[in-house]
Amino acid sequence: MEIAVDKIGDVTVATIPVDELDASNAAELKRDIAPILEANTRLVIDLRPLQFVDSSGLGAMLSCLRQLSAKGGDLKLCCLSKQVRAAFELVRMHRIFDIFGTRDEAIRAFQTQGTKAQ
Amino acid sequence: MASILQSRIAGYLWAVLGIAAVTAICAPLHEHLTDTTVALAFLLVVLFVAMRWGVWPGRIAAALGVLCFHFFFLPRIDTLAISGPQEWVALAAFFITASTVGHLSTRERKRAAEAEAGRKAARLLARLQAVVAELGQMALRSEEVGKVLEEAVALVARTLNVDYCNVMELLPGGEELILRAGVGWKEGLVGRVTVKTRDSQPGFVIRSDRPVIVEDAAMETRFVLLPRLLGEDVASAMSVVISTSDGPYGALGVHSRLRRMFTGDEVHFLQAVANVLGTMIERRRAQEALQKSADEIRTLNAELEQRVTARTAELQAANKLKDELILRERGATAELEAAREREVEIGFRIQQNLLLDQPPADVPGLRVAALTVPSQRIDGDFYIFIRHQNQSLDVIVGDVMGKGIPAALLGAATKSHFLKALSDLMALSKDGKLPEPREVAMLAHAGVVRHLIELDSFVTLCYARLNVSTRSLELVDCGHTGILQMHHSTGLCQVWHGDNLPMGVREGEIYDQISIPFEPGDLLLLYSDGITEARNPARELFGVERLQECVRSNGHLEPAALVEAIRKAIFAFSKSDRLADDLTSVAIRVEETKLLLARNETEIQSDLKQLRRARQFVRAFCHSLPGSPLHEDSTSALELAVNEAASNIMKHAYHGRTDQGIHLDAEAFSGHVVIRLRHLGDPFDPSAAPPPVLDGSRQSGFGAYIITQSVDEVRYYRDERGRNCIALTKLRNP
Repeated sequence: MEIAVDKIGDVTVATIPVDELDASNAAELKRDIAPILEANTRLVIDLRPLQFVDSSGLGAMLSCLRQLSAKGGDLKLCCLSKQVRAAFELVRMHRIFDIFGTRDEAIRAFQTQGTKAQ
Repeated sequence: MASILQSRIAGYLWAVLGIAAVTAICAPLHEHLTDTTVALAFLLVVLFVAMRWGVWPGRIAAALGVLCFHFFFLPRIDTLAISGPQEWVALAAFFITASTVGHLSTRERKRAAEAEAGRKAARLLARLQAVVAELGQMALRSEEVGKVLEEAVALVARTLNVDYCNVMELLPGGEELILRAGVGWKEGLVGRVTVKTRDSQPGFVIRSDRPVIVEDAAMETRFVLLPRLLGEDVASAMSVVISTSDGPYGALGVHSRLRRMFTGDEVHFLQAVANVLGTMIERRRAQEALQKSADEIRTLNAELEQRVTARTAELQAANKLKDELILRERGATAELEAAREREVEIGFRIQQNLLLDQPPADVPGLRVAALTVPSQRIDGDFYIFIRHQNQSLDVIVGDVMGKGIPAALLGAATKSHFLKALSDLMALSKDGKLPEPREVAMLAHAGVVRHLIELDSFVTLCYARLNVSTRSLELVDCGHTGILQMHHSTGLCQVWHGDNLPMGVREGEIYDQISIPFEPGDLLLLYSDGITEARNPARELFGVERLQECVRSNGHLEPAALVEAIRKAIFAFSKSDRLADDLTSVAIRVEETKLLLARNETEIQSDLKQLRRARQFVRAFCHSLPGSPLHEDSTSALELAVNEAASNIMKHAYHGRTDQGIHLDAEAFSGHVVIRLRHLGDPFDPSAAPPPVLDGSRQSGFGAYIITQSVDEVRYYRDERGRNCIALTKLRNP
């Protein structure tokens, strides 16, 4: 799948290009997002198009988080649909991820973080 | 006596000769000798004679001396005239002196002889005592009586210096005596020769019971001496009794060819020897008796032991035989039992596999439970459940007459005829309409009736078709127990009967069908006559009334609990854990809330790409429910659960194979929606999966957890076609 990437300052925003993330395409996502995880440390994944995620999709998101954390980076999620958010909450992943309502909020969170850090 | 006489005569002779010799020597020398010298010479002769031969030869010598002295030597020689008193005095003095000297010397000599005899006797006594002691020791030492007796007679003969010595033993009966031991006897006699007790010497001794001494055999008249009896010569004899405490053993005797005397010591000696022998014999006899009894006891013991051994062996053999017989009998019993068990087992397996269906778990609007308690011998109860698409369920409960494997096989045959009849009729049906139960029953009957008649058997059954949509039950009762209905609204029980004949009674039988209406909440019970005909110890039947009462009081229970309650009631009633007949009951509860509102189904492939289709099926069904659709959150949750369940089936039940099928069906009721996923892969129960790790450390393992968290009920079971079924229920108004 082709993942659109936007650079806003030092924050990279990747938009999930599918409306459903399940066992059939979770592996594909993991594969295609890997270069983005490699190249960036401050990443926002925009889940706006996503209307459904299953346990495999959730597993892929966790994988992204751990890869970034491993290299000192950070991952924030934004624009979860109600159903996707419900899936995250079902397995308590809303506590593990930084989740924001909009892309801007997520970017701003990085910037505030950066300011604070400086 | 002769020797004494000879001795006396010799004394007188010597007296005469002595005096004559002195006279002859002194007379020529008369001139040269004094009278005193001559007198002393004469006195010497008197002294010699008196000392040697006693008083009287001494006195004769003295008298002759006086005469010779007077005649040859005194004045006026050659005359015996006494010439004066002086001469008288001289002669008298001479005579008195000579006599006194003779007397004194004789007395002295006698005393010396007596002392010698005393010494001799003492020596003899000591010797005799030593012999007795020796004999006693020998008797103690030696084991053999015969040897001791031989030694004893030899010793006695030597000691007493006799020619014969013998031991005579009284033979049993007392009539005869045997020469048991002896010395001096001719060869061949000892141990062989016997004499009569009567008139014989030993016999006499035994009878008189004291020592018998014969000094002169010629004078003996009381009995015949033993040597005489045996042709031997004998002069003197002595014998004593050998006594024991049991009575006389025999006699010990000694005999001398020369005549002799036996002193008291010798008699005592012989008696002592006899006593020693008697004691020894007694002891030996006691020992022998002891030995004999010991031997007897030993023999008896040995015999007893032998007998005990033999008896033990006999008993062991008998026991072995018994054990063998028991074993064989046990074997036979076990075989019989095993055969019986095999039959029961086969019957049971036939029943379980062929006769009894699993009650369907997912008939919309109906909860069904069945119970069969096989009796000791299977008697061919069977039941069939057939689900139809249009919310109807066929239940057939039947009972084959007879027991065992034949009944089980007939039951199976009947059942298969029903299924065949149903499928045949359905195949013929043009518009897919279900054939009526009576049609199915008649066609099935046509298939089995001949067999049943041939086998002299029949089948009673109830064929009930419950249609939840129309709330009606069609019943074909072929001589069976009918159907019990408990009305939910009133709580009343009612038994419905048809009046058809059992199957297998008559060919071409027309079966009637009755229609029974039911309402949600009603309970319907089909049962075998094993229930109503169960008997208590008083031989009373359980009966329909008790069954109705049981159902009434347990009517609130779930069907599974109800049939269990009925089972318990039957066992409590019969007070037995063995039943004469199979117990079969099928309870069906019409559920109030489970009237099906909508239904749909689809089939997807076991390809992860098809997950989307599964989700779309769920979402579309939930959106299209009559009345109000399922709440959006509930729909999403159900969609997620179905997605996870399907994903799991693909990954784990089918192990990634993409060409397998997953059947999805969805049913909506007033209160809930059920989605079922059916597959033929490995069994997989999501509700039994291990709990997930939710701390972010794990990227998988959430599936089962998501399923159970997303829906209100997860059930896993095998459906009527043997498929694994995961049923996910979501309540409509949470």
